[in-house]
Amino acid sequence: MQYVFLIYLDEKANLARTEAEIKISMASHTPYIDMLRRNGQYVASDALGAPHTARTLRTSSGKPVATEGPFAESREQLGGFYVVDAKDLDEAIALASSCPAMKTVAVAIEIRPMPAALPRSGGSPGDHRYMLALYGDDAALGGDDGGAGPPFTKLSPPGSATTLRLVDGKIALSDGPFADGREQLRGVCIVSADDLDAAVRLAAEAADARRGAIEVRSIRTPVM
Amino acid sequence: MTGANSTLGTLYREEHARVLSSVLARVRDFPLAEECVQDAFAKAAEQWRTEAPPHPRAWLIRVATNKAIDRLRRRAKFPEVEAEALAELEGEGGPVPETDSELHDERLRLVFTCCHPALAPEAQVTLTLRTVAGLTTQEIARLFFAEPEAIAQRLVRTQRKIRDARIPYAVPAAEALAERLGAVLLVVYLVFTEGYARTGGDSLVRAELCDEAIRLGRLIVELLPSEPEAQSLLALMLLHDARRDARFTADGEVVLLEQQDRSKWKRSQIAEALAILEEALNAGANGPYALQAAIAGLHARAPTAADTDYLQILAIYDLLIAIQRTPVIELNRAVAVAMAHGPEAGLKALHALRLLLGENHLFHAARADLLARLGRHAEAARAYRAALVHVIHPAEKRFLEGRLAACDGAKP
Repeated sequence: MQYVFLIYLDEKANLARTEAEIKISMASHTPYIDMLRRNGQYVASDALGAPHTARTLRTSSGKPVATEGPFAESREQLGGFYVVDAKDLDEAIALASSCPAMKTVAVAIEIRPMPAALPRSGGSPGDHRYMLALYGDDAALGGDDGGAGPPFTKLSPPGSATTLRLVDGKIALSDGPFADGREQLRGVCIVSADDLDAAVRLAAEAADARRGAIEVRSIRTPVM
Repeated sequence: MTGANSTLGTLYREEHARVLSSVLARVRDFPLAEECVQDAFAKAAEQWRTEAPPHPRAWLIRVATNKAIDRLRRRAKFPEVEAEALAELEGEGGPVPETDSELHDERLRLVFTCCHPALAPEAQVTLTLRTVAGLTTQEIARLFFAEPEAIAQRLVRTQRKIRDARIPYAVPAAEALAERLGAVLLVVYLVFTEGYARTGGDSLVRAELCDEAIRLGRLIVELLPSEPEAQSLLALMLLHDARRDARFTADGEVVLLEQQDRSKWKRSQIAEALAILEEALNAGANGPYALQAAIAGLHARAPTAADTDYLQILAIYDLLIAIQRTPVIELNRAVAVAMAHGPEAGLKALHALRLLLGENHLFHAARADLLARLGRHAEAARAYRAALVHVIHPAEKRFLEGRLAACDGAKP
């Protein structure tokens, strides 16, 4: 089964990093990805662009309205993700624990099952890619399943999440998603578009009064 | 409640864990398995009025398993569930054995699944009590002063998480076993302390919680006979519980250990506990439960309070502090210092803890007691007042007020 690892960063600390530090920490993922591929566990991974460059769409009086900035007004922000194929939660936890981000920038990694597989994202090298992240609460999405349908790949509800943090140098598990609150990540979709505005227009097509908010974020890592 | 129903109630409590754990071996959908087990017991309630089958356990497991597989197959007719997912949900194949004697004991898998670290501690406790101890939702709600609806919701959410996140249904591999066993023992200990430490409320409820914890402790020892920490925890619980009838007066007032009527201590339970503890220590037990049990054992062995070997107790606290430094243990150690070396030494030890334990009524009460023994009644009274600021339980409050009055009366 597929699991998504949501890598959360302390945005303030992240912005203070130098180019060199960023390069080194990005490079540290290469051996990890190689290992995942060898084991047949690798599905996808991406580093996301800075949250302050994101746009968030909310539906107001039936119309999608885009605002600048990420969905969450918090110091911790999603910085990247992995999608892995693991046989059970123990295997997923072991993989997330050894993710290089835990030793570098990550504040936490949230493990969420993804019952339907993430489609192979197409695209050619040089494409601009964007992640559309659907956020909502149970009410908005009509219960467990609700509005997180196509084009989004549905994540299992937040109740099925497990979060890893480093506490005194050791991995600590907690039950539930990383963020508090009723509006949680429900689905993701990766698109190619000419630029952010084009991506926002695509997101607007997917927006719906029943749905929650959609955050549009650039993807930094190139197509592999 | 008819005779037949209460027999079924007993059967439920005794067999629920075995039946559910066996169904889960074949059907990896926790909420579904639990539902079908409920249905099977309900069916038994109807059909067994006249005559129970020769192999009741196998009957229950077979009926529940067949029901669950049936429902899974019906779901498969709808496009959302692919055949592959169905196969995964069906766990290990093979028909259920016909006779009870052929059944494997799957309860250990159930125990470790309920106590998986990806589940919140309250979820672990609730699920263990429900599925391993076989308590009903109402019983759990009553024991924890919660609403049955809230307990039921928590159970559903936890079972869904186990299914949706694919928490594996397995006994952990050897490398992980010690750590995972720690989580299991902690759940059992939490249930016990919930009963033991509670000074307010129904004494019957307190007793039930301790009984359930001890029952769970015995099960763990039965299922994992070569785990000395599990034995140590059982010994610890038996030793604490043996003092149950002496800890409160008939009116519900607190009686401290030194003042307890030791003839009310359950001697045969103490003997059993000491035998288990000796076996555990011989097998190399040296963790926190073993050490706490050893301390409890020293108290239990002393015919009177004055006979208590506090030097030995203090030595064990020093070992315990080195591996588990909690505020409560620090406090208890300081009290042992006082008992072994006198009130002045005790006050010094407590002084070092004043920042750590400033909000703890037991800390102030301990200080007050030592000050009173030294004749420093005005200071003792101040300390009792500080304790009263932080105390919660009414019985403890009354106790402290009594002590304060005695101090005030003793002032020159």
